[in-house]
Amino acid sequence: MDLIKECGVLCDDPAFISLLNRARGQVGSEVRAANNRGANNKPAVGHDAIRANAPLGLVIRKDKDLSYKYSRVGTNATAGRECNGTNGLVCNFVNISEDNTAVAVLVGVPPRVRLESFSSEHFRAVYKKLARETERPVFVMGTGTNAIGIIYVTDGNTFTRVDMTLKAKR
Amino acid sequence: MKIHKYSFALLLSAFVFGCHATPKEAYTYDAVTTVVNLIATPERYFNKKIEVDGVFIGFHQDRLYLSSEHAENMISLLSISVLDDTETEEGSLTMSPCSGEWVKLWATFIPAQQPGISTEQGRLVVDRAMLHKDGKTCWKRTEKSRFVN
Repeated sequence: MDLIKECGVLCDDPAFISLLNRARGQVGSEVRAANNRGANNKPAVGHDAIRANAPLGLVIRKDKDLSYKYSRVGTNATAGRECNGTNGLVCNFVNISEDNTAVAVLVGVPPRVRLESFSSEHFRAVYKKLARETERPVFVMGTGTNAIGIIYVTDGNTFTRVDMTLKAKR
Repeated sequence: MKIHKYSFALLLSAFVFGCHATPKEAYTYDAVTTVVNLIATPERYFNKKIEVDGVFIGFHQDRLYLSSEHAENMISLLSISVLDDTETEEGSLTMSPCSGEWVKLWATFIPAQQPGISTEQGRLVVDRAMLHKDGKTCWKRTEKSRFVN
């Protein structure tokens, strides 16, 4: 149960784990769609040149009614910002660290990032830094061939694999 | 008559050598700039063809970093997003020998969706990339990008 160290009481909350798993599905499908290529290796339905080869993320919030919700999937969460409401045209960007309702950040890395990449110190440093900047635990999930279904969590100091724990908690 | 002989010889040599010489590629660019300039004053370079140096990394996210130290630690604050819209992965800039190297890029700097608001101010749509270590072209665009007019 080392996981508790990284995300505190959050990961003891079944409601959070349940929402995290739903959010993983959302991020995963959007990352896979953005990088979608057909059998001929040409961009296929859903392929998005701007989002392809880029990590996508979202913010998990705890509302006043104590229920968890997740934000839209985008490229901004990986830069420590979130689109907190929109007027229909432009987002109202806020720093995640300044959003009192934000409890965690979930990032889906592109399919090119394989399981081995998660062991890279440089790779880990990116998300440790994001966790320190946002002051929230950052969950990093893989979407590639051997990294699909894998999720790590970082609190800025440690970087721990947690997928099996989450499965047990479902 | 002598003049005619010489002119004929000149014409012949120009024809023979001119046809066999590799035509030098002509690139017309609006500005030579740096990653720092693109971060500090992006609006000056929007929709312009530019020449810029940096360390290109195509592993986790396609970006041009200010220096190898920034690239090693993936300090994205001092980097510019590179938009690789090549059709096939094999022919992409990301998978080319340019990745992880100190390169010169000839590119168009396009504004992000909401300049001034979006996290990314602009993106580089690369035409050609050259390795600084040996001066060789490591990647070249073969199809026109749909992001550049």
